[in-house]
Amino acid sequence: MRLLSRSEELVLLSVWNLQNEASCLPIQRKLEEVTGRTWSLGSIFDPLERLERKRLLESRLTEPTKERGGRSKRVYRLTVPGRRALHDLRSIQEALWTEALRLASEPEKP
Amino acid sequence: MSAPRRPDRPLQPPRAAEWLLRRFFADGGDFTHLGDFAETFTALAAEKGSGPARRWYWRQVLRSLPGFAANRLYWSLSMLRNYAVITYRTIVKNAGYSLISLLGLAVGLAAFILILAYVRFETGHDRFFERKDRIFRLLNADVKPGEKPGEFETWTPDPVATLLKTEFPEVRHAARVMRQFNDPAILSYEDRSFSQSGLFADQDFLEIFSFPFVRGDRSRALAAPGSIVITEEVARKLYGGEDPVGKPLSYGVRRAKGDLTVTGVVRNAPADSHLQFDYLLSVATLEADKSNAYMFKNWNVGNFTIYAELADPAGRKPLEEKFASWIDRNRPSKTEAKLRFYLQPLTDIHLRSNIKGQLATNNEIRTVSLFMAIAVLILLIAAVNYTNLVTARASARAREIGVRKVTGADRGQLARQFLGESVLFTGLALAAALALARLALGRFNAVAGVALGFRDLVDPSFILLVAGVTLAVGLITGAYPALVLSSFQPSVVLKEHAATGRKSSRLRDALVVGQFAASVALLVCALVVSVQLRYIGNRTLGYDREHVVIIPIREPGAAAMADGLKAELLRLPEVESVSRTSGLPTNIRSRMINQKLVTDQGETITTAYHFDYIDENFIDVFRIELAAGRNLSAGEENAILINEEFARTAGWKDPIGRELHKARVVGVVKDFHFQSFHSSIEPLALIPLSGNMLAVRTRPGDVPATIARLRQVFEANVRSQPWDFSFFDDEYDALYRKERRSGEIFGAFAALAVFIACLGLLGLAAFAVERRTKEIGIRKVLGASAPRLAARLSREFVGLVLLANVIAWPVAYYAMSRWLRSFAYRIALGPGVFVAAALGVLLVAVLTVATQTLRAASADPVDSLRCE
Repeated sequence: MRLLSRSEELVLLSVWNLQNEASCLPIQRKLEEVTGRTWSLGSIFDPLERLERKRLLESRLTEPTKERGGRSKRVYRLTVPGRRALHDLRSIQEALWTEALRLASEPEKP
Repeated sequence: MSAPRRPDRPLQPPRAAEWLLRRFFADGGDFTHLGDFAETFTALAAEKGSGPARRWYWRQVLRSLPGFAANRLYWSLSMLRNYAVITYRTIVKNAGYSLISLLGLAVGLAAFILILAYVRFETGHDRFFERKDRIFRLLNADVKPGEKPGEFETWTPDPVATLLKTEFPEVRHAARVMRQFNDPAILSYEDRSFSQSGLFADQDFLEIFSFPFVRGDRSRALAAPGSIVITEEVARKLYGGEDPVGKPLSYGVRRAKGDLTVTGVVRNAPADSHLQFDYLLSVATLEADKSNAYMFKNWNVGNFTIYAELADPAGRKPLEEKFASWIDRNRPSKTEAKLRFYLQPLTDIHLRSNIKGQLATNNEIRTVSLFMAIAVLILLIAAVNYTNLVTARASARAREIGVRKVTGADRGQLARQFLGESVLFTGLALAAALALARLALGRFNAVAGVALGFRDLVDPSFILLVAGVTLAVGLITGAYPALVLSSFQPSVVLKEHAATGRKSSRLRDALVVGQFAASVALLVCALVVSVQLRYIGNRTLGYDREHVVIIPIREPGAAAMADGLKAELLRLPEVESVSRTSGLPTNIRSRMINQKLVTDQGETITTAYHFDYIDENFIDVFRIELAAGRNLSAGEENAILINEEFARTAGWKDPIGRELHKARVVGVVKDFHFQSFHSSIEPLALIPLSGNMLAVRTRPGDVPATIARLRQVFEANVRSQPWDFSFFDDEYDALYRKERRSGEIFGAFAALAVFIACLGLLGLAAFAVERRTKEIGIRKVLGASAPRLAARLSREFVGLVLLANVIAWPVAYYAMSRWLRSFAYRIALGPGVFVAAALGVLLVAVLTVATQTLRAASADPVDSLRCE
């Protein structure tokens, strides 16, 4: 099982969130909305590229548009391994959280 | 406000920024990232306006640049390091072949550098003068009605200079210049005296020519009679540390002696000036002497060389025409011939004027171009070696090329790599060539008759030129290998032991043939020149040039003593005879034209003949034979000797007693060559008059001791002139100096060409042998003998050299028959020299190849067949 970095995880999650709209700028917007801080384009390109190389994402090009200076958009979609990687991460985190919460709720031993 | 945008064209991101981004951020060619940036830009522009959006875009791009640049640099540097390592390994691994190419290129480049320096020196003459474009020399020719202008010469009548300045406002300055008649003169101060050579010149001379003044007042240094300007060197010799300006200087030539005042000191004239002098004496000094009155204000005597500076360089042609029409209108000269003037640009004087009356010996553009052509030829021969060896050995690099291609190198990258290699290699050769050129500089100077220093070779602009040529050679030599090597298919070259080096290539063969053709042609030329010079040396001159010492008489004190000195010298046991003469049998130039003679048939013919002043001992000293009549007798006047050609031209069967020059012909001498072999023997008259040198025939024996005795006698009799002498033999040699120089240079460069071509052949032969080791082993096992094997291996090379000969012969024949035509007496161009050159080159080529093939053929086949 491969672990993802936090930025990879967040980007991957946003792609899932955005469904068919997952290209760079919506991802950037989504992340800024959720985290409340600015994300430069470069800080999104990089994880996207890495994720694609790890086959956790796949992409396709759209028709060029005018507001993009006549250039295509790359739209990303989660692959099955990508989805599994997110699930894996979540289960690890949940396991750790459950344990941590359980310990926190128990009265301290004398 | 800027012009309103059309609504359908949204605001674009800054073009330059986008271009930068695209260059560094290729993203596989679909540029979706650029699209993302553009979209953000559009959004920002809509929200905050175009200014902030642009600023944002630029900030993004600039911030990313350092990272991208570093990345690029890192990768290109590591590739460069890889190339350097591979180049180094290739050179070291094939040390032998590399050395052959390097040596050839270094020798070729060294020859090229030397010749280029020579050519630059020769073509750079007189370019250091500040107003060189506006300075012209006046040439003139006589034009008779209905005829073409005669020969141009520099000797110009005195009034022309004044006329130029007064009648033609476009002429700024006009200077009269004349070489001292009996150059050199004796300059003395106190007890020091030296023999120096100089010019008479006007004040305008100093205005026109920017020779730097060291001391004195430039603006009037040559204005007054009795003024002399000396060079730094003369100042140092005569006055030591003192300031010479205002000091007296006494001056002596054969007939005149005078006291002068030094008015200035100039820098020594640079070697690349056509004006060479140790001193400048004002023309006013000459003018003040009554005996020279005939030279001045006289349109019929041309003694001066006139230089003019125009206000505008383009004014040359109009001035020539204006001048011509002035001459037509005023007819200052009373002869029927008209004067025609022509303004020759200053910078044409050294190389482009082969005319009478030069102030200094000059060179010919033809010789200089010829040298340049030879240099280029040698360089090409050397460059071919590199190309040939690299392509021949391509198979050795095939594996490397395959691997590079498989790991993603494209053809351009590989081509660049090989070009880089050859440029690096020629760079190495350049360093070696500079060292070689430095070593050969002394010898080259002696042969070419120049005085180049190492400083001339490393002069920044020159070295830049040489580096440029080297780079070009590197690119040219590398181009073909780069093309061939980069075209290899990895799938072919990587397959086990595939040897892809083609057995022989048409181009390689053609290049070898070219190399040898050039070598053979040069060699034939060198041989013809040397045979012709030997022919001249052996030809009966009609006089004896051995054992004659020439003592010049330069000033009045010596002239007064000359006859006494002659008598004293005759008393020495070492001396056979002495003649006081003005002419030497090597070079009698004085000529009378338009002379009317009456033939035996009573016709009057107009002819020209040469003449010189001699005495009764002249024909004894030079062992010239009499054909008829008698020699002059001592003190006899009104008697004259002529040569056989004179009698033939004049149509005189019995010339004795004929009147000529208000004198009677008393004897006829046999024809002798009184000019170089370029001209045939012409009519000559020898007239008795006291000459300006003593020709002393000595008995063979201890030459230094004889010279010492002559000196003793001279110094005991003559006090006003320093001892000075020359061997007549040397005067004779000087006649053919130019030819001998060309001959030696041809010889040297032909040898170099053959050497370099053979180096290449050596490399190719070594490689051929290496490639065929197994074949040779098998042939030996099957019973071939070593000599037969060697012959078999040499065959293809010998064929190439023979073909080269066939190409070279016609070219050399054409060139040499043209050269020989300049001699009135010349050898016939037979097959001998061609065969000799062919055999010579063939022999050297066969020996070169044999060193390789014999070694291979005599090797034990076990060694070559055992492995595997």
